[in-house]
Amino acid sequence: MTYQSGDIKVQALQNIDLTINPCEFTAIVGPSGSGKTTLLNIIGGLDSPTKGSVKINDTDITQLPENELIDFRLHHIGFIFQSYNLIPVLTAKENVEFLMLLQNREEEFRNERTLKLLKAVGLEDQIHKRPNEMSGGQQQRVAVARALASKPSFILADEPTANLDSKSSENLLSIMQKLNKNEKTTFIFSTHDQRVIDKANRIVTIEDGKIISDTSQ
Amino acid sequence: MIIKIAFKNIWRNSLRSWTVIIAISLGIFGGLAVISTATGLSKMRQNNAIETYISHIQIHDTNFLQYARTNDTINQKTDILSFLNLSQLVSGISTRIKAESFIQSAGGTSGVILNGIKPDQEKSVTRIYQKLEKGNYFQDYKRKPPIILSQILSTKLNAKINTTVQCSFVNSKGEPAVCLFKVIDIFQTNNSMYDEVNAFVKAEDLKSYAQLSGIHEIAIKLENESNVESFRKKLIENFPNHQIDSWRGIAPELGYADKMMNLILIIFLIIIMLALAFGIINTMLMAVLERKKELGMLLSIGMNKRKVFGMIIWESIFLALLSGPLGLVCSYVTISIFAKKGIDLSFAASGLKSVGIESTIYPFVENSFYYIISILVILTAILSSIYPAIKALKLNPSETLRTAN
Repeated sequence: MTYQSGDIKVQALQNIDLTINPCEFTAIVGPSGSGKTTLLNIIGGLDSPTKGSVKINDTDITQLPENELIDFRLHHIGFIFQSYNLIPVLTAKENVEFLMLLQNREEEFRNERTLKLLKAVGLEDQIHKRPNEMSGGQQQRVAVARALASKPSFILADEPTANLDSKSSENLLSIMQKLNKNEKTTFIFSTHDQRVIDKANRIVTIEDGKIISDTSQ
Repeated sequence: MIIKIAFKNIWRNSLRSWTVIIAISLGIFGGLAVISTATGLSKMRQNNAIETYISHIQIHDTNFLQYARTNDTINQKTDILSFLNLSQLVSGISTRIKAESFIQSAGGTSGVILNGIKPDQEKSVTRIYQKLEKGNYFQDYKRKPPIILSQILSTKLNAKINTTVQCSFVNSKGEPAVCLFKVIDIFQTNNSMYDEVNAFVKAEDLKSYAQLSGIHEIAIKLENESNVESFRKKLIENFPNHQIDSWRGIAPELGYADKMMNLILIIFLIIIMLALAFGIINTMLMAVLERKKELGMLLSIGMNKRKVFGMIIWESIFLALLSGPLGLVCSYVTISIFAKKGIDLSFAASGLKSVGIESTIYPFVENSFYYIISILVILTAILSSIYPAIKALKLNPSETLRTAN
């Protein structure tokens, strides 16, 4: 896959052939500029490859028109961003509920699932707080609950612990692991953090846009 | 939820939002203040002219206005007056005799139109009787036939009250008629151009000097001005051989002023709406550019473009919904106060008088205008938010997230 950076065409990924199985807890690792974020963007349908295809549950998302792709992301993919990216004007509860509203879920379902997820990430007493009233770790836990709210097929997390201190990182990882087991959610995350890498049950290493190793532990 | 987010988004930068809200409100207020003052001015000029000398409708012989001959009298006078007396729409009728005359005093000469009136009838149509120096509307006079001159003519002729003036004109037989009148009072309207060429005498005096049996003019005042055109049409249907004009036809300059005022209103409306549009475009563009990362995130997690578009539009609508009523309420209160108290322009009284305007102006805006502005404000807000909303839709989610991260 190539993309334009000014006048220069950058080849971000080459010959990537990767299959992620359900319920895996996969870490994509590699040095800065190796193509981790680009790979996640391509899996999530945020970028499209210049060649090849991305199949999610037998749907080739590279063939979907833009509106259908947005809708596909809403129902099948959860996102966790490095800098949390919560909606600042909404409370923790409203942020988690937001995707279910976009999915037109009923109020009772929304309330029940929101409270369940916020409890699962340990924020049941923070539901009425806005992002600016919470710590970075708490915000990232809200982001995890939000990503799970839409019952996605898998969750993409781009360096989820990069902005967190070690305690918060530890806490977040154990929550993600628990959700991976309990909710049977597939997690794919990029990271440099060795503590995160140690928790993954599959590690895909990329360098210069190529997969150089793919190991399970 | 989209509407809720849109509303909350407005208050993220409350200083900027309030600045825009106040700026739009002031724009609406300023525009309405100018419009109401201009409309009040125009209405006052129009009402002054109608109530002082024109009346709502005038009837003449078809030749009279063109040739102004003494014997061009209204030939169906009796039928017309019976018709008018029976109509519920009519509040006053005055029959007049007119003569283009040459007026002379010991102090000077001038051209003048002698208006032969029946004072009691004339009171029901015009307010000249309220504009007299002494209040003597043909009640108190002795041997010589009385005449009421304007202040301007009196000064020009050096003819004060109780002095005698001589008028000469052509009578109905085409012969010169010369008559003497005694000045019994002086009038002054707000239209110096009218004052300069008009004088009032009793109809019976002018009739006998002109050797005339008919009348030249019937001035009609209606209960309600809005009936003028329909009643005029009715008169034309019944009396097709007469020249029947509404005030717009008699004094076309007033009609033009009215049309001009409408044009000015439209221009001001466009200016107000343009100011509103640029205010909203600027604010919303800044809001979109500042929130690139968040909008990218919303598109990434599955909020479709229609909803992102709707959210931006709603934000603009909320800005308009806050600023519009604020501007309208301030305008309504201010205009209502000044509509009662008036705006004192006595420092420019003489200049205003020369164009028929009094020195106190009462601002006026039709109530419907407030509704029109409310609708236009919302429509403008929607239209002006389209460009920022399109900008938001063109954002590339991965690009914005990559840049932000």
